[in-house]
Amino acid sequence: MSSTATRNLAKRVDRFMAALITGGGLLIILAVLGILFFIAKEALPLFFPARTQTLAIVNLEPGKGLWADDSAKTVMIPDPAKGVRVHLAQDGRLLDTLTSGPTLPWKLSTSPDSRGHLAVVGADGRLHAGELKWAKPPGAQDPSQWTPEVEWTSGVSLPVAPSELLDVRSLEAGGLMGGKVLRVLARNPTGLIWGEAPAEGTEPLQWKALPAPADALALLSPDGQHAYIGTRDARVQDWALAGEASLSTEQTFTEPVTALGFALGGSSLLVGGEKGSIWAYQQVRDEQDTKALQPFHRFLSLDGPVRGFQHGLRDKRFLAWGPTGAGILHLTSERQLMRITGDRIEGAALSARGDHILLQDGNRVRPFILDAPHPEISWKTLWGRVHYEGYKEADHTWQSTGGGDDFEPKLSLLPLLFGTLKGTFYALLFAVPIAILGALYTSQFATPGLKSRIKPTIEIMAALPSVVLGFLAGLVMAPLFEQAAVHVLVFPLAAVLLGLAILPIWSKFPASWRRIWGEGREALWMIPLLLGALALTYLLAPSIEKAFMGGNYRTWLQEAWGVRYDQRNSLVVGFAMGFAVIPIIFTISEDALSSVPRSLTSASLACGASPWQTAWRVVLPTGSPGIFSAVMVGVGRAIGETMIVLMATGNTPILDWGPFNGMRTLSANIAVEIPEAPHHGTLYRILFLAALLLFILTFSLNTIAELVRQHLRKKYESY
Amino acid sequence: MDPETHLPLPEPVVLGGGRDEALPAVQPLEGKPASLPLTDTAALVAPPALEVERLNLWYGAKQALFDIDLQVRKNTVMSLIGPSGCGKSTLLRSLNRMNDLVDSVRIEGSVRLGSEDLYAPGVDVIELRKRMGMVFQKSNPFPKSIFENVAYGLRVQGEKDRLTLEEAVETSLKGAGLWEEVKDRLKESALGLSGGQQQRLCIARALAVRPEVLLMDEPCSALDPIATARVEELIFELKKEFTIVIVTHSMQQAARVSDFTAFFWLGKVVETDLTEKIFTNPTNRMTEDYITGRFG
Ligand SMILES: Nc1ncnc2c1ncn2[C@@H]1O[C@H](COP(=O)(O)OP(=O)(O)OP(=O)(O)O)[C@@H](O)[C@H]1O
Ligand SMILES: [Mg+2]
Repeated sequence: MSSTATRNLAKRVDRFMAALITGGGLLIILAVLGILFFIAKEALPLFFPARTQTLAIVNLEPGKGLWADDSAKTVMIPDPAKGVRVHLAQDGRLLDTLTSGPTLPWKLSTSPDSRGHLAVVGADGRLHAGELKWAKPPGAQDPSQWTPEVEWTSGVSLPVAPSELLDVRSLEAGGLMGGKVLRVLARNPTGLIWGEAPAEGTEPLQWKALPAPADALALLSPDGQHAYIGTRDARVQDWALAGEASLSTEQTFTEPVTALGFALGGSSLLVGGEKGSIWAYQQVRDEQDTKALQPFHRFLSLDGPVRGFQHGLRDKRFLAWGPTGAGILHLTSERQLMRITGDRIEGAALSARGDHILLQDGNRVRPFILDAPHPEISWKTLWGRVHYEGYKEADHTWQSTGGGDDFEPKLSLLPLLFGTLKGTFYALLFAVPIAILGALYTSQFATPGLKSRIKPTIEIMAALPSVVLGFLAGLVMAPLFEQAAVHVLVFPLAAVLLGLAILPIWSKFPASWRRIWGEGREALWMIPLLLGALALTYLLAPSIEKAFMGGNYRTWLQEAWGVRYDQRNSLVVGFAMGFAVIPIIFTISEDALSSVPRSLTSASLACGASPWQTAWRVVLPTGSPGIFSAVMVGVGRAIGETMIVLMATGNTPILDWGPFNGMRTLSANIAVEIPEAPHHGTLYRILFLAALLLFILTFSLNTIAELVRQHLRKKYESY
Repeated sequence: MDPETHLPLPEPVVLGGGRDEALPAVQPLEGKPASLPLTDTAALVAPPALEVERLNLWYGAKQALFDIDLQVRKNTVMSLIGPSGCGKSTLLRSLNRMNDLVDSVRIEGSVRLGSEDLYAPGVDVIELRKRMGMVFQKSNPFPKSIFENVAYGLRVQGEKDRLTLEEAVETSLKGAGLWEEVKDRLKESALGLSGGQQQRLCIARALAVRPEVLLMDEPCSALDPIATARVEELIFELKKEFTIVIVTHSMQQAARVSDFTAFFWLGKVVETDLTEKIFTNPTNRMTEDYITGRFG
């Protein structure tokens, strides 16, 4: 009776424990999957296509271009007859008309850019620069609470009114408003003309001729010092405007040029052609230090001729439009974020944030919304060479933050992945031979007493926090290495040479003596050997440096190899991270080698093989899958290691295998950049993508290792 | 059907008078029962290949072998029998110094292989093991190809010539009676062979280095009766070339394959004699009890 009760109790406890353990395991798997899911959820929106939305068409009388505010709730239309009309975007209702500034009716006007800047020649022939804007009380969401404003300069008198006003820039301010001198580019019936005058209108403007084709398109550079010209015969020219206009460089284009514009920052010139081609050019200096225009990005063509460009103020996206349609393109990634087809389009505007587009044809305005939070990211910008503005050529670059508002983050993951692999490589270069040979020695040769001490000691090494290792590496080892780099490289050689020199002497000792003092205790003999090698190093290294490196290894490296020695370099990292992975590789390898069936070693020895032959020919090959799995786990550990690389390298994202410079790894990069990454920004998501990459890498490595281990277990079950 | 009754027993040979003189002048075994049918007449007069003298062995403080004296004659089979734990394997391992691998072991006495004392100081153990093949209770082929398994002993001796290796592998596999079964799959893993084949492969591996003595520790204990029969047949063949010491738990096996039998008990040799003698007319009471199955 009681025995049945005990049995039932035991059964119940069994069932309970089984459920508990299964539940715990499932929970862990769920947690891991949850983490994976979360990381992926944060990273993947980078690759989502842009979302677009078409809003209801509004009827609006056309003027000279149009300008939408940030939220595109209102539209301002400069109307030469009436002044600046202010409309509600939703239904086209006229809210206000601003008539201050130039006398009405205006003779000439430019279209406002996305900042709302425009230039107008009034009825009195005076040129005014103006800025459209809204005065919004803090927190006011509704346009009825806002006040529309136009800020006008006081007006420059023009002795002769041109037939077309092409571009106006302030010479100092790098825009239109706020400078003291305005430079004006215009056209009269004989050709292009230009001149400058004080913005306050104290002096009249004197026109000078610009000897380019009379029907060419023209644009001033943001600083007003250059004029870019696009001709009907398919040429793009750069004219320097100082004293007299002079042609500084010229490029041919694929087709007659029909539109010119800039991307944000004004250093990329956008050129559109009659057949719809769109290219971006930038100023570069070639080997002779002469300026040249370099076509460096090409975009999807429009279906018809390109008429105009407008850029946003947040990123490098721009709007290209023509009578038959419009596209929103991104300068650096060359992505087409949006494509709109149309019919007889006469004007287009992009809001400052680049998320609202207005297309005008006749009396109708068609509004669109574009939701593209990460236009600069594409598979190609993450992994391929990208030609950034200001760079001579396409390259893999990581530079997430920089000075200036128009700084463009450069987010290539390749240097980081490279850095991860480089750090791992150097760590394994150091750790794998030591760990595996150590495991082989411990499992096959060491006496049981020695073995029982070696193993836990090395396993304790694994408990060393990697911050400590990183700290030691960065602040102690790196300066030491720098002082004695030659010593560091000579030492292993000295140790090997000394070892080889001692072996023949050792073999002369009587066998019985060797047996007692040597076998299984070789490890202890390493201590005097290493000390001897150290002494030898201190004897030899200075003379080696003197004899082969002219007394200073740094200058020698620089002169003979063109290599700069960084204090926190790959050798330091390899050494420190090696320390972090040796225990894990050692332990798993040792287990694998120890579990090689004893019957196999006995068989080998009975065949007349020496213990060394047995270790090399039977134990090592038999244990090799286990060693492979140990190395895999070690690789996984090194890939994910953060603190050591963070502290022991300069964290420079470079693509260079050299041992004397550093690296930036995916994991260290996350740690470095997280404080800089605004929530849900592009950088933030990129960091999650890096995390996802790390997760996948380590997960697959560990999975492979585990599969190999299981396979191994099955294979040797029969022994 | 009991396969053991079906086994090929060695043909009995009757000792012919006058043949002794033609053979080397070695003392025949004392107390030789001239009337008994013997496995081989030559066995009686063969020179000793292995001589064990006053061998004592301790595992730590515990003595496992006591004053062992044993002679194994050339080209004969000596079987070691006795109850479990009596030291048969220990003695076998002492013959090729595999006991050196055990940490706490201490050995006194001498073992002579031909004229050489295995336990003399300065003996090259590795050289010595090349002269003694060993087959283990459980087959233990390396996780390598069949070819590499057999060639292993030669390879560790530095033999690199492909032809020599191939020849040796073929001879050894033929010697172990495995050639016909595996000649088309030499490159395949040895772990794919059946248990009996694996054991014969291990025998081939031991034969490949042409040892003088073959030590077998219960080579058939993990095999089925048919595989056992093959190995026993093989032992009978092999003794033409090798001297064999075999540990076995099967009285029938000892009777079938061996010329001499040594009965062990608690680390001591109780009786050693011609197999026929031991199995038909043992001198010692204990031997008789063990053989007749009264204990052990
Ligand atoms: N490595 C060892 N360390 C300590 N004692 C051992 C060791 N090997 C064997 N012994 C002991 O020595 C004695 C003889 O063992 P041995 O293996 O030689 O017996 P055996 O006759 O081969 O037995 P079996 O028939 O079961 O194989 C046993 O008491 C055993 O416990
Ligand atoms: Mg045994």
